[in-house]
Amino acid sequence: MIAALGVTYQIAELRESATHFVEFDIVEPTKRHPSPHIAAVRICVRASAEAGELQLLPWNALEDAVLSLSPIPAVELCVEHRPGTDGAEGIFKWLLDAVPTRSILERMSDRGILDVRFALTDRRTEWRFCEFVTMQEVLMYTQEYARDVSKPKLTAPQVFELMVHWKQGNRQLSFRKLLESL
Amino acid sequence: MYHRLPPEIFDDVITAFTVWPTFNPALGVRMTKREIGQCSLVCRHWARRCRYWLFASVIVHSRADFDSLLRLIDAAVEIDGIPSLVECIQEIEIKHRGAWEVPWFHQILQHLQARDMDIEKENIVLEICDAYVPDSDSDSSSTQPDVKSHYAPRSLSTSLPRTVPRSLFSHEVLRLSDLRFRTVRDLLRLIHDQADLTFIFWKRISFDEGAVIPPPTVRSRRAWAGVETLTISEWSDIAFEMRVMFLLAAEKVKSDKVVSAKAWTAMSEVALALLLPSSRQIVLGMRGEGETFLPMDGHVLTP
Repeated sequence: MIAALGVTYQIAELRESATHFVEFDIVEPTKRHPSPHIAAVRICVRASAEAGELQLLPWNALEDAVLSLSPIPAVELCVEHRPGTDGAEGIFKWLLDAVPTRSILERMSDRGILDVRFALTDRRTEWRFCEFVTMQEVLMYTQEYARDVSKPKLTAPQVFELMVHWKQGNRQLSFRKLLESL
Repeated sequence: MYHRLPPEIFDDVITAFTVWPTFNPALGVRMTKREIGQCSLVCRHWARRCRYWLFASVIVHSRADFDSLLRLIDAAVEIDGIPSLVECIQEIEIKHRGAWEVPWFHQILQHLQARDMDIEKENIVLEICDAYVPDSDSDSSSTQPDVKSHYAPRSLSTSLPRTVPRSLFSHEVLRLSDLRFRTVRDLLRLIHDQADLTFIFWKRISFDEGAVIPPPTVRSRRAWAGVETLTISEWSDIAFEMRVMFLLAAEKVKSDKVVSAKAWTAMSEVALALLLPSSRQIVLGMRGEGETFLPMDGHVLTP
Protein backbone atom coordinates (compact mmCIF):
# COMPACT_ATOMS: atom_id res chain seq x y z
CA MET A 1 0.00 0.00 0.00
CA ILE A 2 1.35 3.44 -0.82
CA ALA A 3 -1.46 5.53 0.60
CA ALA A 4 -4.90 5.34 2.13
CA LEU A 5 -7.74 7.75 1.80
CA GLY A 6 -10.28 7.76 4.61
CA VAL A 7 -13.68 9.33 5.17
CA THR A 8 -15.09 9.59 8.70
CA TYR A 9 -18.75 10.31 9.38
CA GLN A 10 -19.75 12.22 12.50
CA ILE A 11 -23.16 13.00 13.95
CA ALA A 12 -21.85 16.19 15.54
CA GLU A 13 -18.72 18.29 15.56
CA LEU A 14 -17.45 16.43 18.59
CA ARG A 15 -14.47 14.12 18.60
CA GLU A 16 -16.42 11.15 19.92
CA SER A 17 -19.27 11.48 17.47
CA ALA A 18 -17.88 9.35 14.61
CA THR A 19 -20.31 6.59 13.72
CA HIS A 20 -18.36 4.91 10.94
CA PHE A 21 -15.62 5.41 8.40
CA VAL A 22 -14.46 4.07 5.07
CA GLU A 23 -10.87 3.72 3.96
CA PHE A 24 -9.50 3.09 0.47
CA ASP A 25 -6.08 1.45 0.11
CA ILE A 26 -4.13 2.73 -2.87
CA VAL A 27 -1.39 0.35 -4.00
CA GLU A 28 1.55 0.54 -6.35
CA PRO A 29 1.26 -0.42 -10.01
CA THR A 30 1.75 -4.08 -10.83
CA LYS A 31 2.51 -5.90 -14.08
CA ARG A 32 -1.18 -6.54 -14.51
CA HIS A 33 -2.28 -3.04 -13.51
CA PRO A 34 0.27 -0.48 -14.67
CA SER A 35 -1.02 2.46 -12.61
CA PRO A 36 -1.77 2.99 -8.89
CA HIS A 37 -5.13 1.47 -8.04
CA ILE A 38 -7.44 0.72 -5.13
CA ALA A 39 -6.79 -2.73 -3.69
CA ALA A 40 -9.12 -2.69 -0.71
CA VAL A 41 -12.10 -0.84 0.70
CA ARG A 42 -12.55 -1.04 4.47
CA ILE A 43 -15.81 0.04 6.05
CA CYS A 44 -15.84 0.18 9.84
CA VAL A 45 -19.06 0.70 11.76
CA ARG A 46 -19.15 1.65 15.43
CA ALA A 47 -21.73 0.87 18.03
CA SER A 48 -22.90 4.49 17.95
CA ALA A 49 -24.28 4.03 14.43
CA GLU A 50 -28.03 3.57 14.34
CA ALA A 51 -28.83 0.06 13.13
CA GLY A 52 -32.06 1.31 11.58
CA GLU A 53 -30.20 3.91 9.54
CA LEU A 54 -27.62 1.38 8.38
CA GLN A 55 -30.38 -0.89 7.13
CA LEU A 56 -31.66 1.91 4.94
CA LEU A 57 -28.32 2.73 3.33
CA PRO A 58 -28.27 2.47 -0.48
CA TRP A 59 -26.26 -0.76 -0.43
CA ASN A 60 -26.90 -1.27 -4.15
CA ALA A 61 -25.30 2.08 -4.97
CA LEU A 62 -22.34 1.12 -2.79
CA GLU A 63 -21.98 -2.15 -4.70
CA ASP A 64 -22.30 -0.39 -8.05
CA ALA A 65 -19.52 2.01 -7.12
CA VAL A 66 -17.16 -0.68 -5.81
CA LEU A 67 -17.80 -3.01 -8.74
CA SER A 68 -17.14 -0.17 -11.20
CA LEU A 69 -13.52 -0.08 -10.05
CA SER A 70 -10.88 -1.84 -12.04
CA PRO A 71 -9.44 -4.03 -10.66
CA ILE A 72 -12.29 -4.81 -8.26
CA PRO A 73 -10.99 -4.35 -4.72
CA ALA A 74 -11.52 -6.55 -1.68
CA VAL A 75 -14.16 -5.16 0.68
CA GLU A 76 -14.04 -5.49 4.44
CA LEU A 77 -17.09 -4.58 6.47
CA CYS A 78 -16.14 -4.49 10.12
CA VAL A 79 -18.36 -3.78 13.11
CA GLU A 80 -16.32 -2.48 16.02
CA HIS A 81 -17.27 -3.30 19.57
CA ARG A 82 -15.93 -1.19 22.41
CA PRO A 83 -16.27 -1.92 26.10
CA GLY A 84 -19.16 -0.15 27.74
CA THR A 85 -21.10 0.29 24.52
CA ASP A 86 -23.91 -1.76 23.15
CA GLY A 87 -25.36 -1.78 19.70
CA ALA A 88 -22.44 -3.30 17.82
CA GLU A 89 -23.68 -6.85 18.41
CA GLY A 90 -27.14 -5.92 17.13
CA ILE A 91 -25.63 -4.45 13.95
CA PHE A 92 -23.53 -7.57 13.33
CA LYS A 93 -26.52 -9.85 13.96
CA TRP A 94 -28.47 -7.91 11.37
CA LEU A 95 -25.59 -8.39 8.92
CA LEU A 96 -25.55 -12.10 9.80
CA ASP A 97 -29.08 -12.23 8.53
CA ALA A 98 -29.00 -9.71 5.69
CA VAL A 99 -25.84 -10.87 3.88
CA PRO A 100 -26.41 -14.66 3.77
CA THR A 101 -30.07 -14.16 2.80
CA ARG A 102 -28.85 -11.91 -0.05
CA SER A 103 -30.83 -8.89 1.11
CA ILE A 104 -27.71 -6.71 0.76
CA LEU A 105 -24.31 -6.94 -0.91
CA GLU A 106 -25.35 -9.94 -2.94
CA ARG A 107 -23.03 -9.30 -5.89
CA MET A 108 -20.00 -8.75 -3.68
CA SER A 109 -20.71 -12.00 -1.81
CA ASP A 110 -21.07 -13.89 -5.09
CA ARG A 111 -17.71 -12.59 -6.26
CA GLY A 112 -16.07 -13.64 -3.02
CA ILE A 113 -14.64 -10.17 -2.33
CA LEU A 114 -16.63 -9.44 0.83
CA ASP A 115 -15.35 -10.06 4.33
CA VAL A 116 -17.73 -9.22 7.17
CA ARG A 117 -16.25 -9.25 10.66
CA PHE A 118 -16.82 -8.23 14.25
CA ALA A 119 -13.88 -6.64 16.05
CA LEU A 120 -13.31 -6.99 19.77
CA THR A 121 -11.05 -4.74 21.78
CA ASP A 122 -8.11 -5.89 23.80
CA ARG A 123 -9.28 -6.21 27.41
CA ARG A 124 -6.15 -4.57 28.72
CA THR A 125 -5.84 -1.58 26.41
CA GLU A 126 -9.57 -1.29 25.67
CA TRP A 127 -8.95 0.41 22.36
CA ARG A 128 -6.87 -1.92 20.22
CA PHE A 129 -8.81 -4.46 18.22
CA CYS A 130 -7.13 -7.79 18.75
CA GLU A 131 -9.83 -10.42 18.24
CA PHE A 132 -12.18 -10.85 15.33
CA VAL A 133 -15.21 -12.99 14.69
CA THR A 134 -15.82 -13.33 10.97
CA MET A 135 -19.14 -14.05 9.35
CA GLN A 136 -17.54 -16.95 7.53
CA GLU A 137 -16.48 -18.48 10.85
CA VAL A 138 -19.97 -18.11 12.28
CA LEU A 139 -21.67 -19.63 9.27
CA MET A 140 -19.19 -22.48 8.94
CA TYR A 141 -19.35 -23.40 12.58
CA THR A 142 -21.14 -26.58 13.32
CA GLN A 143 -24.55 -25.64 14.63
CA GLU A 144 -25.72 -28.88 16.18
CA TYR A 145 -24.81 -29.83 19.70
CA ALA A 146 -25.61 -33.05 21.55
CA ARG A 147 -27.55 -32.23 24.68
CA ASP A 148 -28.75 -35.35 26.47
CA VAL A 149 -30.56 -37.16 23.69
CA SER A 150 -31.61 -34.13 21.67
CA LYS A 151 -29.49 -32.18 19.22
CA PRO A 152 -30.47 -28.51 19.47
CA LYS A 153 -29.54 -26.37 16.52
CA LEU A 154 -27.96 -22.99 17.14
CA THR A 155 -28.90 -20.06 14.99
CA ALA A 156 -26.20 -17.85 13.47
CA PRO A 157 -26.73 -15.09 16.09
CA GLN A 158 -26.40 -17.71 18.86
CA VAL A 159 -23.20 -19.08 17.36
CA PHE A 160 -21.94 -15.51 17.10
CA GLU A 161 -22.71 -14.83 20.76
CA LEU A 162 -20.95 -18.01 21.71
CA MET A 163 -17.87 -17.09 19.69
CA VAL A 164 -17.75 -13.63 21.20
CA HIS A 165 -17.76 -15.18 24.67
CA TRP A 166 -15.10 -17.67 23.65
CA LYS A 167 -12.86 -14.95 22.29
CA GLN A 168 -13.35 -13.12 25.56
CA GLY A 169 -12.31 -16.21 27.52
CA ASN A 170 -15.73 -17.33 28.85
CA ARG A 171 -15.76 -20.59 26.91
CA GLN A 172 -17.37 -23.18 29.23
CA LEU A 173 -19.62 -20.87 31.16
CA SER A 174 -21.22 -19.24 28.13
CA PHE A 175 -21.70 -22.54 26.29
CA ARG A 176 -23.49 -24.11 29.26
CA LYS A 177 -25.59 -21.00 29.70
CA LEU A 178 -26.58 -20.98 26.03
CA LEU A 179 -27.53 -24.68 25.96
CA GLU A 180 -29.56 -24.24 29.11
CA SER A 181 -31.51 -21.45 27.49
CA LEU A 182 -32.52 -23.61 24.54
CA MET B 1 -9.27 33.13 49.20
CA TYR B 2 -5.80 32.24 48.01
CA HIS B 3 -4.74 31.03 51.45
CA ARG B 4 -7.81 28.84 51.86
CA LEU B 5 -7.74 27.21 48.41
CA PRO B 6 -4.63 25.17 47.55
CA PRO B 7 -3.09 26.54 44.32
CA GLU B 8 -3.09 23.17 42.56
CA ILE B 9 -6.85 22.84 43.15
CA PHE B 10 -7.39 26.26 41.62
CA ASP B 11 -5.19 25.26 38.68
CA ASP B 12 -7.29 22.15 38.12
CA VAL B 13 -10.52 24.13 38.29
CA ILE B 14 -9.39 26.82 35.87
CA THR B 15 -8.07 24.16 33.48
CA ALA B 16 -11.36 22.25 33.63
CA PHE B 17 -13.27 25.39 32.68
CA THR B 18 -10.94 26.51 29.92
CA VAL B 19 -9.17 23.62 28.19
CA TRP B 20 -11.43 20.56 28.02
CA PRO B 21 -14.71 22.15 26.99
CA THR B 22 -12.87 23.61 24.00
CA PHE B 23 -12.45 20.12 22.61
CA ASN B 24 -15.65 18.66 23.94
CA PRO B 25 -18.44 20.99 25.09
CA ALA B 26 -20.20 17.96 26.58
CA LEU B 27 -17.53 17.86 29.25
CA GLY B 28 -18.59 21.10 30.83
CA VAL B 29 -19.11 24.80 30.52
CA ARG B 30 -16.37 26.90 29.04
CA MET B 31 -15.61 30.15 30.78
CA THR B 32 -15.73 33.25 28.66
CA LYS B 33 -12.73 35.54 28.43
CA ARG B 34 -14.63 38.09 30.50
CA GLU B 35 -15.18 35.54 33.26
CA ILE B 36 -11.54 34.50 33.22
CA GLY B 37 -10.65 38.20 33.36
CA GLN B 38 -12.84 38.64 36.45
CA CYS B 39 -11.15 35.66 38.12
CA SER B 40 -7.79 37.23 37.40
CA LEU B 41 -8.78 40.27 39.50
CA VAL B 42 -9.12 38.22 42.70
CA CYS B 43 -5.47 38.16 43.68
CA ARG B 44 -1.99 38.01 42.24
CA HIS B 45 -1.90 34.21 42.29
CA TRP B 46 -5.18 33.93 40.41
CA ALA B 47 -4.02 36.58 37.96
CA ARG B 48 -0.88 34.58 37.30
CA ARG B 49 -2.89 31.42 36.60
CA CYS B 50 -5.64 33.11 34.57
CA ARG B 51 -3.40 35.18 32.37
CA TYR B 52 -2.29 32.23 30.29
CA TRP B 53 -5.87 31.19 29.51
CA LEU B 54 -6.91 34.77 28.94
CA PHE B 55 -4.40 35.22 26.15
CA ALA B 56 -3.72 31.63 25.03
CA SER B 57 -6.08 32.05 22.11
CA VAL B 58 -6.56 35.43 20.47
CA ILE B 59 -9.17 36.30 17.86
CA VAL B 60 -8.34 39.05 15.40
CA HIS B 61 -11.05 40.50 13.17
CA SER B 62 -9.08 43.01 11.14
CA ARG B 63 -5.71 44.51 10.45
CA ALA B 64 -6.54 47.18 13.06
CA ASP B 65 -7.15 44.41 15.63
CA PHE B 66 -3.83 42.80 14.77
CA ASP B 67 -2.03 46.13 15.08
CA SER B 68 -3.67 46.65 18.49
CA LEU B 69 -2.47 43.24 19.58
CA LEU B 70 1.06 44.04 18.46
CA ARG B 71 0.94 47.37 20.32
CA LEU B 72 -0.29 45.58 23.44
CA ILE B 73 2.58 43.11 23.21
CA ASP B 74 5.10 45.88 22.64
CA ALA B 75 3.77 48.04 25.50
CA ALA B 76 3.45 45.26 28.07
CA VAL B 77 5.65 45.77 31.11
CA GLU B 78 7.23 42.68 32.62
CA ILE B 79 5.88 41.87 36.06
CA ASP B 80 7.76 39.46 38.24
CA GLY B 81 6.00 36.10 38.44
CA ILE B 82 3.41 36.92 35.78
CA PRO B 83 3.92 35.30 32.36
CA SER B 84 4.46 37.80 29.56
CA LEU B 85 1.99 38.10 26.70
CA VAL B 86 4.51 36.60 24.32
CA GLU B 87 4.64 33.51 26.53
CA CYS B 88 0.87 33.30 26.84
CA ILE B 89 -0.29 33.63 23.23
CA GLN B 90 -0.39 30.15 21.71
CA GLU B 91 -3.03 30.49 19.02
CA ILE B 92 -4.13 33.28 16.72
CA GLU B 93 -7.41 33.07 14.89
CA ILE B 94 -8.00 35.58 12.14
CA LYS B 95 -11.66 36.02 11.28
CA HIS B 96 -12.42 37.87 8.10
CA ARG B 97 -15.97 38.88 7.30
CA GLY B 98 -17.36 41.27 4.72
CA ALA B 99 -15.61 43.11 1.91
CA TRP B 100 -12.19 41.79 0.92
CA GLU B 101 -9.70 44.56 1.38
CA VAL B 102 -5.98 44.97 1.07
CA PRO B 103 -4.45 41.64 2.09
CA TRP B 104 -2.27 41.58 5.16
CA PHE B 105 -2.30 37.95 6.29
CA HIS B 106 1.13 37.40 4.76
CA GLN B 107 2.60 39.77 7.36
CA ILE B 108 1.46 37.82 10.41
CA LEU B 109 4.38 35.46 10.73
CA GLN B 110 6.88 38.24 10.07
CA HIS B 111 5.43 40.43 12.85
CA LEU B 112 5.23 37.59 15.33
CA GLN B 113 8.74 36.40 14.68
CA ALA B 114 10.02 39.94 15.10
CA ARG B 115 8.67 39.75 18.67
CA ASP B 116 10.20 36.33 19.36
CA MET B 117 6.80 34.72 19.24
CA ASP B 118 7.11 31.18 18.01
CA ILE B 119 3.53 30.16 17.31
CA GLU B 120 3.14 26.82 15.59
CA LYS B 121 1.68 27.18 12.11
CA GLU B 122 -1.11 24.79 13.07
CA ASN B 123 -2.15 27.32 15.68
CA ILE B 124 -2.66 30.09 13.16
CA VAL B 125 -6.22 29.86 11.89
CA LEU B 126 -7.74 31.84 9.06
CA GLU B 127 -11.52 31.96 8.95
CA ILE B 128 -13.20 33.53 5.96
CA CYS B 129 -16.89 33.99 6.55
CA ASP B 130 -19.40 35.74 4.29
CA ALA B 131 -16.56 37.57 2.54
CA TYR B 132 -16.75 39.04 -0.93
CA VAL B 133 -14.57 40.95 -3.33
CA PRO B 134 -16.23 44.32 -4.07
CA ASP B 135 -16.82 45.00 -7.71
CA SER B 136 -14.37 47.64 -8.88
CA ASP B 137 -17.05 49.09 -11.18
CA SER B 138 -19.65 49.56 -8.47
CA ASP B 139 -20.16 52.81 -6.65
CA SER B 140 -17.65 52.92 -3.82
CA SER B 141 -19.86 55.24 -1.77
CA SER B 142 -22.58 52.60 -1.59
CA THR B 143 -22.73 50.77 1.72
CA GLN B 144 -24.54 47.78 0.23
CA PRO B 145 -22.42 45.31 -1.76
CA ASP B 146 -23.43 44.60 -5.31
CA VAL B 147 -25.14 41.24 -4.96
CA LYS B 148 -24.34 40.30 -8.55
CA SER B 149 -20.62 40.36 -7.80
CA HIS B 150 -20.85 39.11 -4.25
CA TYR B 151 -18.22 36.41 -4.83
CA ALA B 152 -15.73 35.05 -2.37
CA PRO B 153 -12.06 35.88 -2.99
CA ARG B 154 -10.24 33.43 -5.23
CA SER B 155 -6.88 34.20 -3.72
CA LEU B 156 -5.44 35.67 -0.55
CA SER B 157 -2.85 37.50 -2.55
CA THR B 158 -5.21 39.59 -4.66
CA SER B 159 -3.68 43.08 -4.95
CA LEU B 160 -0.27 41.85 -3.82
CA PRO B 161 2.79 41.89 -6.07
CA ARG B 162 3.32 38.60 -7.86
CA THR B 163 6.75 38.41 -6.28
CA VAL B 164 5.29 37.79 -2.81
CA PRO B 165 5.99 34.12 -2.11
CA ARG B 166 3.11 31.89 -1.05
CA SER B 167 5.20 30.59 1.82
CA LEU B 168 4.48 33.85 3.64
CA PHE B 169 0.93 32.68 4.23
CA SER B 170 1.78 30.84 7.35
CA HIS B 171 -1.50 29.41 8.61
CA GLU B 172 -2.23 25.70 8.55
CA VAL B 173 -5.94 25.90 9.35
CA LEU B 174 -8.51 27.38 6.98
CA ARG B 175 -12.21 27.70 7.81
CA LEU B 176 -14.62 28.77 5.09
CA SER B 177 -18.29 29.50 5.65
CA ASP B 178 -21.17 31.32 3.98
CA LEU B 179 -19.23 31.87 0.79
CA ARG B 180 -20.43 32.13 -2.75
CA PHE B 181 -18.12 31.07 -5.58
CA ARG B 182 -18.68 31.35 -9.26
CA THR B 183 -17.18 27.92 -9.98
CA VAL B 184 -15.61 24.98 -8.16
CA ARG B 185 -12.29 25.95 -9.67
CA ASP B 186 -12.47 29.28 -7.79
CA LEU B 187 -12.74 27.44 -4.46
CA LEU B 188 -9.87 25.13 -5.41
CA ARG B 189 -7.76 28.09 -6.42
CA LEU B 190 -8.32 29.77 -3.06
CA ILE B 191 -7.28 26.58 -1.24
CA HIS B 192 -4.29 25.81 -3.43
CA ASP B 193 -3.15 29.39 -2.97
CA GLN B 194 -2.36 28.66 0.69
CA ALA B 195 0.72 26.53 0.69
CA ASP B 196 0.82 25.25 4.26
CA LEU B 197 -2.76 24.20 4.84
CA THR B 198 -3.21 21.12 6.99
CA PHE B 199 -6.82 21.37 8.11
CA ILE B 200 -9.50 22.72 5.80
CA PHE B 201 -13.11 23.18 6.92
CA TRP B 202 -16.03 24.43 4.91
CA LYS B 203 -19.73 24.88 5.45
CA ARG B 204 -22.55 26.67 3.69
CA ILE B 205 -20.76 27.35 0.43
CA SER B 206 -22.42 27.68 -2.95
CA PHE B 207 -21.45 27.79 -6.60
CA ASP B 208 -23.29 29.95 -9.11
CA GLU B 209 -22.44 27.77 -12.06
CA GLY B 210 -24.07 24.78 -10.39
CA ALA B 211 -22.85 21.26 -9.88
CA VAL B 212 -20.13 21.26 -12.50
CA ILE B 213 -17.03 19.29 -11.56
CA PRO B 214 -13.94 20.33 -13.52
CA PRO B 215 -11.37 17.72 -14.55
CA PRO B 216 -8.63 17.24 -11.92
CA THR B 217 -5.33 18.98 -12.39
CA VAL B 218 -2.44 16.92 -11.07
CA ARG B 219 -0.10 19.04 -8.99
CA SER B 220 3.25 17.58 -8.13
CA ARG B 221 4.15 20.56 -5.93
CA ARG B 222 2.63 21.22 -2.53
CA ALA B 223 1.27 17.71 -2.27
CA TRP B 224 -0.31 16.50 0.93
CA ALA B 225 2.30 15.38 3.39
CA GLY B 226 0.28 12.93 5.40
CA VAL B 227 -2.04 13.95 8.15
CA GLU B 228 -4.09 16.67 6.51
CA THR B 229 -7.85 16.56 6.65
CA LEU B 230 -10.72 18.21 4.89
CA THR B 231 -13.94 18.63 6.88
CA ILE B 232 -17.36 19.64 5.61
CA SER B 233 -20.63 20.28 7.40
CA GLU B 234 -23.92 22.08 6.78
CA TRP B 235 -23.82 21.15 3.11
CA SER B 236 -26.52 22.12 0.64
CA ASP B 237 -25.83 19.41 -1.96
CA ILE B 238 -23.85 16.62 -0.36
CA ALA B 239 -23.47 14.56 -3.55
CA PHE B 240 -21.82 17.50 -5.26
CA GLU B 241 -19.73 18.61 -2.29
CA MET B 242 -18.50 15.04 -1.79
CA ARG B 243 -17.27 15.07 -5.41
CA VAL B 244 -15.54 18.40 -4.76
CA MET B 245 -13.84 16.94 -1.67
CA PHE B 246 -12.48 14.03 -3.67
CA LEU B 247 -11.48 16.34 -6.51
CA LEU B 248 -9.49 18.38 -4.03
CA ALA B 249 -7.87 15.19 -2.73
CA ALA B 250 -7.08 14.12 -6.30
CA GLU B 251 -5.32 17.42 -6.86
CA LYS B 252 -3.44 17.33 -3.60
CA VAL B 253 -1.97 13.83 -3.61
CA LYS B 254 1.48 13.20 -4.95
CA SER B 255 1.59 12.18 -8.58
CA ASP B 256 2.71 8.62 -7.76
CA LYS B 257 -0.50 8.10 -5.77
CA VAL B 258 -2.93 9.34 -8.37
CA VAL B 259 -5.48 6.74 -9.38
CA SER B 260 -7.68 7.01 -12.46
CA ALA B 261 -10.41 9.67 -12.67
CA LYS B 262 -12.95 6.83 -12.65
CA ALA B 263 -11.54 5.57 -9.35
CA TRP B 264 -11.89 9.01 -7.75
CA THR B 265 -15.51 9.14 -8.88
CA ALA B 266 -16.14 5.63 -7.55
CA MET B 267 -14.59 6.54 -4.18
CA SER B 268 -16.82 9.58 -3.86
CA GLU B 269 -19.85 7.42 -4.74
CA VAL B 270 -18.91 4.85 -2.09
CA ALA B 271 -18.46 7.63 0.44
CA LEU B 272 -21.81 9.13 -0.54
CA ALA B 273 -23.61 5.79 -0.27
CA LEU B 274 -22.36 5.44 3.30
CA LEU B 275 -23.75 8.77 4.44
CA LEU B 276 -26.34 8.30 7.17
CA PRO B 277 -29.30 10.67 7.57
CA SER B 278 -27.88 11.57 10.98
CA SER B 279 -24.40 12.44 9.61
CA ARG B 280 -23.63 16.08 10.24
CA GLN B 281 -19.93 16.27 9.51
CA ILE B 282 -17.62 14.41 7.13
CA VAL B 283 -13.85 14.29 7.42
CA LEU B 284 -11.68 13.25 4.49
CA GLY B 285 -8.03 12.47 5.15
CA MET B 286 -5.09 10.80 3.54
CA ARG B 287 -2.10 8.97 4.91
CA GLY B 288 0.98 7.53 3.27
CA GLU B 289 2.48 4.10 3.84
CA GLY B 290 3.37 3.54 7.47
CA GLU B 291 1.68 6.75 8.55
CA THR B 292 -1.40 6.98 10.68
CA PHE B 293 -4.39 8.97 9.65
CA LEU B 294 -5.86 10.85 12.55
CA PRO B 295 -9.26 12.26 11.76
CA MET B 296 -10.88 14.83 14.00
CA ASP B 297 -12.32 12.28 16.38
CA GLY B 298 -8.92 10.88 17.25
CA HIS B 299 -9.61 7.41 15.88
CA VAL B 300 -6.45 6.02 14.34
CA LEU B 301 -6.85 4.12 11.12
CA THR B 302 -4.15 1.50 10.94
CA PRO B 303 -2.89 -0.37 7.90
